[in-house]
Amino acid sequence: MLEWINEFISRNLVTLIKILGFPGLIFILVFIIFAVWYQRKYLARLMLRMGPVHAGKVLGWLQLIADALKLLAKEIIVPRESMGKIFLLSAITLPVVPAAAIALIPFAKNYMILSVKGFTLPLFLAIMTLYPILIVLMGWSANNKFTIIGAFRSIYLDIAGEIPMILSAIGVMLWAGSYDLQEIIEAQKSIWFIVPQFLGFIVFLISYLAMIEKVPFDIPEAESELVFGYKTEYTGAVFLDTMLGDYVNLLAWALLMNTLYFGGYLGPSITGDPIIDGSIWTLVKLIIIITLTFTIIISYARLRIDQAVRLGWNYLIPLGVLNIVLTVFIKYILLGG
Amino acid sequence: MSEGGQIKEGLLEKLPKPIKKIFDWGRSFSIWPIHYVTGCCSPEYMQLFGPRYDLERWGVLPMASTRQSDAIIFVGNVTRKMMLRAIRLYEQMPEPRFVIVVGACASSKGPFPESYSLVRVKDYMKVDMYIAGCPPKPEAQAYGILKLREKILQGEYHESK
Repeated sequence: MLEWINEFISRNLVTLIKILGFPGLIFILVFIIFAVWYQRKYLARLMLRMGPVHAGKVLGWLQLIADALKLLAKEIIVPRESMGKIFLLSAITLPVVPAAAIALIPFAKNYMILSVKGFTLPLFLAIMTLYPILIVLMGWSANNKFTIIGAFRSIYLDIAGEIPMILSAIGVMLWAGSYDLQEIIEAQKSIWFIVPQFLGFIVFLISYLAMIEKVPFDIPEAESELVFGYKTEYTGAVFLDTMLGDYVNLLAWALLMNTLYFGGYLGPSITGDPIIDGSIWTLVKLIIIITLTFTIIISYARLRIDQAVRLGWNYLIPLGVLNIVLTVFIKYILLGG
Repeated sequence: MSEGGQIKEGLLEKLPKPIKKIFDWGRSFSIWPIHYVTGCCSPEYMQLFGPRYDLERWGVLPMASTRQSDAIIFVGNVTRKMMLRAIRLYEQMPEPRFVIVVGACASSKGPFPESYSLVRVKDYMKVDMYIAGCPPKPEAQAYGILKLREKILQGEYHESK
């Protein structure tokens, strides 16, 4: 028995480290602790406040640990009218979907959890489309008018955001000439795709904000209209889990933006080859993207649902199609492939 | 407030003391209150989360939902009819839950002692902290919430199940 375990560990050591360690479980949890703390602190400083200070003496770094401890020890209420098991299970499985998508992202050259080649970018987008289904389950099973309206709004928003996002991803695929995330990164050695695909990047950025459901598009959980949207009925540890799902979702989309437009693990370079590649650049770029996201969160007011859907269907989808046409024209006719 | 006036022990109170102390620390740094605003103490209350008094330094975060909140803050006078709604909100909150009463009206009917419609909050639920004043200044309200925080930190509260 023991030998078998030893052999298993020594054979699969790298995979185990990947799954439990760096791009996997521990990294995601540490990232979320950092991201929530960073969001509260950064948003507070932009509002001329201090943010968390006293939890953990230095800069309030234990704030999220305190929140998590409190939520874990709180009573869990399952409403009598709800579909109990679906109500709980849909919330508990929520972080799994974006975490599964993160397994496809290369953090350094040939360093991803799931080493598959080929159609990884369409696969990533396909996995992420499962997320709204869980949200509908959450909203429907709680059997409360706020949760149902919140879930439906989330679906409207996801349809308005996901199609432009796929269109802008098609632009990147055409420019790189590959479906593979790693080959897309390798194709950015000379220049990051934010420059040749700038129109696509604008479309991607706006639909990214719609997908993570933060402030300009926090319509599903608009606090002054729907108490907490589809999360209204969740208490304690289950609520913690839905929050976890939110931030893993943010992490997955931010990593995709980094991979498609900011050169993934490639270091900044002026002439040809980057000096150092590696996961350190992934993390640095990730923090920059998240800072950009939080700055947008604090700067804008919330859109109405009809405004957001109109933005998606009337402006982003035509722009995405235009981007594809321009990409084909420039890449395959002017530059000749 | 459980049925029949009996208070059953919560899960955490059966655990050994050091573990409960860790959870008490977590609870004391993360009080998420909802406010039940019915009167003119509220303009003073709003200051607490602005730049000057900023209670988020101690992790106090105003919440919109009862299901995720820890404390209910009565800001202003409470009439007999509004008390029914307040009790409904209180019953929606998960344990452990705390009640803070702000101002003279809600704590003791204040300037209307012979009113037919005003009620005292303490007649309906167990109050953890009173904040005196008419209306209490933001400093006083912040002090009251921080006093509740100290009370939680020392474990001087009762969790019913």
